[in-house]
Amino acid sequence: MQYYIQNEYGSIGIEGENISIPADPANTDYQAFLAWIAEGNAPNPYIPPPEPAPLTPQEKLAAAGLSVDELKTLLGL
Amino acid sequence: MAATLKCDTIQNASSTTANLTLDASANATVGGTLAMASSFKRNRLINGNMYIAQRATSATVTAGTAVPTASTGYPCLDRWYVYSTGANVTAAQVAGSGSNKNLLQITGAASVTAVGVGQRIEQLNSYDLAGQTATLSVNLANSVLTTVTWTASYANTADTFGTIGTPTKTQIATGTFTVTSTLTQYTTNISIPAAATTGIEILFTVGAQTSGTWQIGNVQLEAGSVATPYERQIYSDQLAQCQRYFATFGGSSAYEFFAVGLANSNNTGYFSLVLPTTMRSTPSLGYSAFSDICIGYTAGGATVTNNVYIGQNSKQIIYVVATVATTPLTGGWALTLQANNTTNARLTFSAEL
Repeated sequence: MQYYIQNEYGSIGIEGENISIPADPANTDYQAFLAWIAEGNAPNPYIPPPEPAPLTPQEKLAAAGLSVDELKTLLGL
Repeated sequence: MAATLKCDTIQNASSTTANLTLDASANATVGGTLAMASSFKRNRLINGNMYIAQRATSATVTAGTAVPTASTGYPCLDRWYVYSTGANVTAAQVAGSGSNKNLLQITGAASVTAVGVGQRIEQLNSYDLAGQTATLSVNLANSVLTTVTWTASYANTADTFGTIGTPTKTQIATGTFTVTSTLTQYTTNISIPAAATTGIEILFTVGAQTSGTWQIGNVQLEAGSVATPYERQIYSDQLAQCQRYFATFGGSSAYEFFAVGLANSNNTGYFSLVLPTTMRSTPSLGYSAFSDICIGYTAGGATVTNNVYIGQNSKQIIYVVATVATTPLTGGWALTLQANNTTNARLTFSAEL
């Protein structure tokens, strides 16, 4: 079993398992994680995801639910 | 000397009415207040009659002793952890008989060396038992083995029992029941020490269950030295008691909504998910598969998740963060966290001991 830091809030994941463990000392999964640390193990560090690419003007328009023609009409062009 | 006292009423010398009236149909009517040494809601164990099975009605128990934790060791019936050594076993909710609707059944397998079934009672529900006599009662049957061992322990620190392999608990007492293949009630008294204010565990174990079945039902731990009849509860009450330790979302419809939230960026949503009741601790979040879960957004689209995790700690209103691999969102959009066209989608929350 290998733990990893899941996010900036300190939640813990287990590689290959669908779980998110909160950093709450009363949570027994977190207690097991702390025991694992006490044995000399180390979790994989948190790796922030890359910043998403900024939306293109076309994508922003589509996200607003507008077509180019509708925008032109709106702007009186 | 055995004797029978026959009368219609029992009345205190200073009372103007009967304290107790007895009729010809074996009924007794109390005239005033009935003061009991133990109260109703006397069973300190939850789901002792094996009714609630939120996780599954049958599951494989993977052999090992690194259990239980919030997310491991609880295969099917709420609140009851199961472990085995030597080989895997199956745990299932099965039909009982008579007025007992359900039982927990363990099915043995070759190479099994031991099986245990236990429940951990949190400090808040057992603190007052310290220094008292308690009574444990249980219905048991085993098709091949004749000895079931019971063990009571208390946590070394509040609500922290450790795992089977690395326990952090102190044994209170242990004993055995000689069982048969016929479901029978067994009882024992347990002297709870004054130090046992930190939570109590009841554990039943058998040895090499290499075949056959072991059935357990109507488990009750109560204050006092008398085993009273199993205390039945309204199903919804019992479910709510279980949901302090485990709750699950999903399975009702293909696009079931779990939570609503806001887009924080073009690929991340923050969701507020309200649990049925306040849990014992911030729960661990489990999920079926990223592809089972999607984020729905304003423009009518939906994108499957590639990460779902607990945000900040909370015991009832859970802050869930979900991300998607693409960038279809715009900050500030209203979002839904929902099933992605499958009833297999699950979000589970466990604060088990």
